[in-house]
Formats: sequence, C-alpha cells, structure tokens
Amino acid sequence: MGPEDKLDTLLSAMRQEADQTRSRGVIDEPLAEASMRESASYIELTPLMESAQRLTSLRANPPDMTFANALEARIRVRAAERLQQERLGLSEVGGKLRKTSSAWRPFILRRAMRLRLALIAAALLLSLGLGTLATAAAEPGDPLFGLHRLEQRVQTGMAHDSAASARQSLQFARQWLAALHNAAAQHLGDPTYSDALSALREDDANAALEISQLPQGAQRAALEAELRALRTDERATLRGALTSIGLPDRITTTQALGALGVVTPRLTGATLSAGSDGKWRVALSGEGIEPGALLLVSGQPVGAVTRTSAGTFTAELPVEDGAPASLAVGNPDGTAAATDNIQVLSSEVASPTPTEPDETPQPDEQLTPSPTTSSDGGQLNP
Amino acid sequence: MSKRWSVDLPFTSVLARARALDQEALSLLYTQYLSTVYWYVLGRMGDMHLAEDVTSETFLAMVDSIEQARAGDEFAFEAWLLGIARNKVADHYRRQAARPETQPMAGPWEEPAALAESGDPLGVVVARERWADVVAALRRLTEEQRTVLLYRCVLGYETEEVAQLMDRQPGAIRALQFRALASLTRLLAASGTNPRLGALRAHLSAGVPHPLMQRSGDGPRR
Repeated sequence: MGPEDKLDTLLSAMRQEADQTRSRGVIDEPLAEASMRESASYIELTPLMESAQRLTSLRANPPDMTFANALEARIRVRAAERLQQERLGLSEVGGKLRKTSSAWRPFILRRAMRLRLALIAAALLLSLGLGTLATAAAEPGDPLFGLHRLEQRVQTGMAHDSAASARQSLQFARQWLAALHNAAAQHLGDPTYSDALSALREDDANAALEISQLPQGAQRAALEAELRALRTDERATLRGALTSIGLPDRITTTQALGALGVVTPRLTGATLSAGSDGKWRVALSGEGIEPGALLLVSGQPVGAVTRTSAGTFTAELPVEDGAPASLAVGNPDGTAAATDNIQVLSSEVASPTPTEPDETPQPDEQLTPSPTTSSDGGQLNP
Repeated sequence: MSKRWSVDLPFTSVLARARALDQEALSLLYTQYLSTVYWYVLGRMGDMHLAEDVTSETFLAMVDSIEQARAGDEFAFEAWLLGIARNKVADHYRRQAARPETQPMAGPWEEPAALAESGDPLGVVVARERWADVVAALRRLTEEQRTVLLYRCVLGYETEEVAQLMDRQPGAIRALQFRALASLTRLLAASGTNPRLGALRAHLSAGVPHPLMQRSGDGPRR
C-alpha cells in the first residue's frame, strides 16, 4: 500500500471516528485520536494527518441557530412569493400544484410534529426579539411591515391543518382589506396602499389554496362561503378605491380585480406611426377597453380611445419629445391597463376607420372573462 | 456520506415536492444540507458572517432554480447545490476584486459565539482555535487541491464520492489529496501557527529535508 492509499485509509478512519463520536454527542476534536495514533506508525504521514484534523475541526462550528432559523423563514417566504407569482400568471400551473398538494397531504401531516418544533423556535425568536418591534409597527407602509408579514407567515405555517391555516389567512386578508380601504379613503398613497394590496392578494390566494386541499364537507363549504364573502367585499372595496389612487396603483388594482373575476382592461401592445398633422396615430391591441376610455401618458389623459374592431383600438397622441416608453388606457370606471410593448413605425400606415363609440359592447368585445366570472363575479380559484 | 431519508419519505418525493415550491419540502432540503453548504463556504471564506451571507445566497438561489435542478438522486442534488455555493463564493471574490478598497480575508477568524458561550470547555477550546491561517493556507492551494480537501476532510465525503463529484478516478483523488495535504502542511508550518508542527518547522529552518518534502508532487498555487 503506497503512502497515498495509506493516507486515504487514515482519513476515512478519522472521518468514521468523528461520525461515531458525534453520534454520541461529542464534538470532533478528540475523536480522531485513534487515527492519529495509527498514523504515528507512518511518521511521514503524521503532519499531514494533523493538518487534516485541523480541517476536520471546522465541523465543530455549526451554523448559528438564529441565522439558521432566519434563513429558513426567508426560504419559506421566497417560495411563497414565487408560488404566488406563478399562481397569478399561470393558472394551469396552479392546478397541477393543487393536485400534487393533495397527494402529499399525508406526508405533510406525518412531518407536522418535527416541523412544528422548528416553527415554534422561529416564532419564539421572532416574538421575543424582532417580532416585538414588528408588532408595534405592523401597519402597511411602515418600514417594519415586511417583518410583520414574516411573523404572520410563520404563524400561518404553525396552523395544525389546512382549515386552521385557511381561517388564519382569511382573518389576515380581512385585516388588509380594511387597511386598503383606509389607505384609499385617506389618500395615503404608496407604500401604504401597495403594501395592503399585496398582503391582501397573498392571503386571499393562501386561503384559497388551503381550502382547495380540504375534503368536501361542511367545513370546506363554510370556508368557501367565507372566502366568497371576502371576495365580494374585495371587489367592492377595490372598485371604490380606483378613484382615489394614482395610475400605478390603478393598474395593480385592476389586475387584482381581474384575478377576482371582474372584466378588466388589458393592453397587449401599441403601434405608433407619425401622421402628417404632427400627431402620432396610435393603434392599440387589447381587450376590456370600454367606450369613453382615455389614452394616458405618464398618468395624464391625452386623448380618447376609439374601438375599430374586436381587440383593436385607435387614438391620437401629440408628437412632443418622441414616442413614449409606455402607454396606458383608463376606463371610465377607473380601471386601467398599461403596455410597454410599443412599436414605432417610420411613416404613417393606413389606420383602420374608427367607428363611433357605442354604449353597447359588441358580442366579440364582451371580453373573455378573466380568469372566471360568476354571478357575484368570481369563483374560488386560488 | 448519504443523508438519512426514511422509507416513507424518499428523497425523490421530497425533491419533486420542492420543485413545486412546497415550503415544507424546501425546508426539509434546507435542514438536511445547511451544514454541508455552510461548512463548504466557511472553509472557502474563513469569516463566519461572510459564510452566512453566501450560504443565504446559495439557498435562496436553490429556491429560485430548483425546477431546473438536474438531480435524480440526493448525491446529484448535493453536487448541484455545492455547485451553486461554489459559484456564489466565486461571485463574492469577483465583487471583492472589483472593489479594491475592501480588504480580502478581513481580520482574524472570529470565535463562534455559540460555542464560546455554551460553557462546554471542550467546545471553547475548539472555538478558540483560530482559522484564519488554515483558510489563508487553503486559498493558496490550487482549486482542485482546495476542493478535494474540503470535500474529504470538512464535508466528509468518501474518496469514491469525491471522484464522482470531481469527475476523476479514485486513484487520482487519493494522489491529489496527498499532494494537497502536503502543500497545506508546508504552508501551515511556514506560517508557524501550529505548535504541533514544530518538528516540521525545525526541519525547514535547519534546511534538513523532511520525508514530506520529498513526497509532495505539486506545490501550492502562488
């Protein structure tokens, strides 16, 4: 056996001893003494083994528990945020996940005790330390609001089953709906309004997801009714808020209404061509644009939008500093949509002949509901 | 060095669930691999706080890209995760190089407060062993030498596993780790920080060739 092989054997033995010692609850350093004694018979390997032992002793420094708990909470938050983004963007992905969730439900329950211990530790840290500060300043718009949300997520994660978790999320959603109403009524602007809206959408989606994992029965039916009532209130509050908020918030609020089953405007692109009269001819593609809609640039109305055919609209825009980077359309009810998918043509092309605005939506204009529409405006799609 | 996954909780199921961004599954993977990633990064960086930062970046990147992880088993997953950690360490040093005003390898090794405060005398002794010299010596090795030592001595992989991770033959790994340890030992002896290497240092200062010197095949990276 050559020295390389002998060293390899000694290193393996040292590792084994370390593992055995650790399993007895003792840290590494003294564990490798047998290996060291053995290596003494190979005098040229002794210094190498001593160096190896110094490296191995790094394992005596485990990750700090506070750091580990905080990072675990961040991982959960990141996963929830990514899932939320996917749910909002890809409903078919949401369906696949729900099926998987059902298949995994037994596993989640079996692991509940172990996970609960970790969550309790995280919650204790949050509640004893930073959590105290966060609770004291828990309102949307506060710099510590993110921390408070983290605390709430931990609290929701500690729920013993999906029903309890759903109830918790519904309760939080109600809280954020009230905060959103106040932010709009008092014209508080951002980040108060955007924080409240973001938290509301997240807890609404969480509640829907948890409810979808429940078996059919009275409990599920009761929670579904509660969620329907919440969403009815959401639609009313969000519609009411549209007249009190700025364009960016109108756009996100419109998206939220769309997710709740309300027919809302959506722009997919715009083409600008310079006319001979010093104006841009704007051809818009999209849906849900109502008669009386206005073209908006930098939040300011610059002209009326006219429907030309299903899914296409035109408008005119004064040529000033050049083509805008983004355009928005605002409906009379306050809903708004924007696009930065703007194509600028070098010369004017034949623009479609506008038709007169019609108060009665055309059959093909009475837009595809997005994503679902029911008598009260929505179903329980997470 | 396989992790222990129970029969009713196989790794492949956990990974599938984690790919669907299930928080429990991601949390489980995190719990299983936290020490591995942390020790790897700590061995590369030497500073606890930096190691925590890079470990955080590694696991958040895991969440962001786990759907693309090409891992059919836990070992492949571990290799994928360590690949992320390696890239994050490299990113850190690249950023540091772009900011010449910052000090690379700042300050001495900080004692792990948790151990030092634990009241465990043995833990305190271990905690007091300063790591700055070890990490500094590691950084002077070649990338392959450094990697083989971290995998073998810190993360505790078997030779065959290291061979698989580094796409080399086990025999080549044994030779590489011998040369790496020899180089590390020389560097530590030259720095004069390890009292247990006094004999070797005496050999060096007296100009007497030590058996170790005759065996090492490749020297440290300068």
